Amino acid sequence: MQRIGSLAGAAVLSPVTPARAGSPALAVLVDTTLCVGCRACEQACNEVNPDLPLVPDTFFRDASVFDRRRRMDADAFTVVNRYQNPAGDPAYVKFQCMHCLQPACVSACLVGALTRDACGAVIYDESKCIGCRYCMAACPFQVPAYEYASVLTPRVRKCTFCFNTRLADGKIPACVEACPMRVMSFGLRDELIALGRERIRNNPGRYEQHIYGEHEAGGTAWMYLASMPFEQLDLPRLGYHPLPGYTEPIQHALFKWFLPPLGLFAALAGIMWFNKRKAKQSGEDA
Amino acid sequence: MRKLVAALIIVAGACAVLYAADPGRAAPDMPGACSADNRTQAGCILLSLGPAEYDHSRPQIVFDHERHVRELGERACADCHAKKTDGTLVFEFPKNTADTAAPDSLTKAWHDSCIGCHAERSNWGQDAGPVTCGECHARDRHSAFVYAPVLPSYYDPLRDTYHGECRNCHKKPALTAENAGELDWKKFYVHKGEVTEPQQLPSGFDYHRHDLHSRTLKDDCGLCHYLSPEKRRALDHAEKKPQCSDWLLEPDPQGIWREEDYAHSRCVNCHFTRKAAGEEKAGPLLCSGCHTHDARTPEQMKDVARSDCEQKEKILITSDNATALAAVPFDHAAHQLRTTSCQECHHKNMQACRECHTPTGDEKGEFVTLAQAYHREQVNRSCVGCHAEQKQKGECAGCHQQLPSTLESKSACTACHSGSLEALQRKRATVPPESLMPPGTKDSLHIGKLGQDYEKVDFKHLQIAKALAAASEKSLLAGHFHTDGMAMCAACHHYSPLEKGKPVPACRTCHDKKDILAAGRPDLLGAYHQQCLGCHQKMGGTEEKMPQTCEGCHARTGT
Ligand code: SF4
Ligand code: SF4
Ligand code: SF4
Repeated sequence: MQRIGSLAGAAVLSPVTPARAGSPALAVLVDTTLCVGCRACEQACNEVNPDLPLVPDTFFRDASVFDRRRRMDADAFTVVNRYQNPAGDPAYVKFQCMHCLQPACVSACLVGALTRDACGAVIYDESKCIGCRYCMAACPFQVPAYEYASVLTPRVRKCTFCFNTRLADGKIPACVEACPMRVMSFGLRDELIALGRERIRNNPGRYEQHIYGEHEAGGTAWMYLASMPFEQLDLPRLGYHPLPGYTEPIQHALFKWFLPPLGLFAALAGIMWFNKRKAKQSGEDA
Repeated sequence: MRKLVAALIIVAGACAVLYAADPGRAAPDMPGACSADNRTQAGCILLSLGPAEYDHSRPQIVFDHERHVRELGERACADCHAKKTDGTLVFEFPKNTADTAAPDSLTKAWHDSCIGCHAERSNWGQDAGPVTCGECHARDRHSAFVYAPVLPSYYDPLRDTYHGECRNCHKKPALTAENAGELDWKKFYVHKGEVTEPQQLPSGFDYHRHDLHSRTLKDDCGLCHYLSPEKRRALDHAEKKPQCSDWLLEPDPQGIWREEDYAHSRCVNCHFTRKAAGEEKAGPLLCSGCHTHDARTPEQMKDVARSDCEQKEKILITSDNATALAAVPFDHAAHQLRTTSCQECHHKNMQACRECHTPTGDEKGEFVTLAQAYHREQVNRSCVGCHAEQKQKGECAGCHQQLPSTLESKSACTACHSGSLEALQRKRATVPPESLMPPGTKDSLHIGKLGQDYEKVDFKHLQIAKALAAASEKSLLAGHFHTDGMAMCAACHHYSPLEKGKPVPACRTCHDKKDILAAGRPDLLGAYHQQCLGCHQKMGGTEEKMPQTCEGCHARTGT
């Protein structure tokens, strides 16, 4: 955590102090009313993550991608989609992992391949992942993607909050820095909530009176401001309770001793034995 | 093995035949007919399927009313709509709804009416409409159907999990008929998001149409407008003829009638009666006759007579309130020329605002005070609201989106509250922008390189100032409110004192060059982009004049 502490005011509202337990540290406020859909963020993300296939410049200048709503996939940690606001103007929204404060993906993961760092980033460790894709089913925002195309070493893919690539060096996330409109503000979560409230207060009529992600699914590190209802921007209406619940300990206890897979193997063995016996019997009959 | 392949081929073939034969996929066979993807035409009625909690297992319907009338003829109207004893129609559908409160009874009534008629027609060998589900409930490309649980209030995410625990009680199908509504699990797992509100083309009853009607109907206002019973008695007693301001727009001043009910029952029934009586100018009977695509603009109706209500051309709006600001001179004639109908301001009747809106507000004016009636920013009937709406448009929006609202900038008050009618006569002198700038201001400024990817920008300061001044001069509204030339500088040079001939602080005084969010303000790079690009996008000019791409302003490095 000390590494993050060295971000010291370079680009945040105030010097970042190491996170206290339970108090989320870093966050991003996305003011969608400012976004012009230039996709510089997408490109920056693609460039900063060396294991993403390098996408040519021309793709990020191709406005025809806005004809359909895209989702993050194995090759893109962030996408910008186009919507229409009530005034008939285009409204753009950048999506990526929300870095939940109490992430459902982390709770669903059987082997601890997903963890939430105290600085706020939810990170994935491919060496631990067993490919069960429970995280994909658990995520309320349908964020994690899977390398279905990779036969031998498929990984779960999602935005890293630039944890190893940039935060570790005291830099701000690549997409935040690349955005020419400064749609995203990066800093301490509490201060960004205050900033969001101030913008709503100072610009009557411009914003929905809500910071999306302040409480949704127990709170997220990436939060949104918008000029129209969030559901219309594919930001789903969620309860304020964190999703991982009482089920988590039960589920984890069950899987701890590798019980279900053992059960499965036992069942398969049973079937095999049964079939063999039947084949033998019919062989004898003939 | 061979058997298996043959079976697969047969199944695939059958699927292909079924798919091709599915009438639900058939393209609409009439040019311009309403379809799931074409819903904005006159007569296309988007039938929404009730409240969002209701089972939307099928998409909503885009109903082609126009086509039904065209193909079945007017005589068939009574097949769908109830007829009153006096021969007029009630424009509601379906006509036999026993209990519209229960969603299922309404669904049944709908299905019986539509499918019943289609089936009957096909029995008689006539051209019939569809009878299968997907033909009416056609999926459109706008429907991004998302299945999502709408969780009830008692659901506790800490205790319950989806599926398993919900289904313990919410079995499918529900056990008994009585609790079907309550316990069907589908109730909680619905298609979300695509219950789009019906989109109707406005009928545009503007000055032109009003003029047409008054000429055809020989100024018989009572055919469409109403007098309150008290008013009628008073007029009868005084043996006077009603004046404009006596007539009401709606039969029911309390406004329980929706405008469309009113319009359809009055307009269409009247057109019917006139046609039956053999009148030559009976009025349209088809949807598209009234709901035309292009609304006339005020400019197109410049020469159309505005109704004569003995209105004054210029009015001084005063207030009895001693603490109020100076009176407001109001050019009624100029405003009339810029509206499409009287109703844009006189929403209930043709009286002055203060007749209903009292200084403290009461029931008659729906508790909207007189001050609110003039100043409410959220409604476009009020002065401030309508002006705010004008500022959202094209050339105004570029600057005004960056500025605080009218009511927040105190200097704006005196622009209206000037106290005398003479203010309307005053012609504002044109101020060339260069005369306002401090001596030595360069015509063109260089904005240095801020990032690695793009070169510096040649910012044409004077050219932009001139273009803004010219835009302001073109508009009467802008000319009235931009009281001095400096107003045109305020959007870019925000938060700083502006004085003629005095230098203004540079952008970098407040916007840091490095720190992208110092003190909650965007850095210099962000500030430039937010302001330039934000304005260009709002004003929507050509790429050459108001670039919206990166290269429009600065070249890429290395090219
Ligand atoms: S958005 Fe999804 S993937 Fe990201 S932290 Fe939350 S649950 Fe995990
Ligand atoms: S934070 Fe990093 S990984 Fe996540 S979207 Fe932005 S650039 Fe990509
Ligand atoms: S870089 Fe900024 S303005 Fe451009 S698409 Fe991304 S968020 Fe929007």
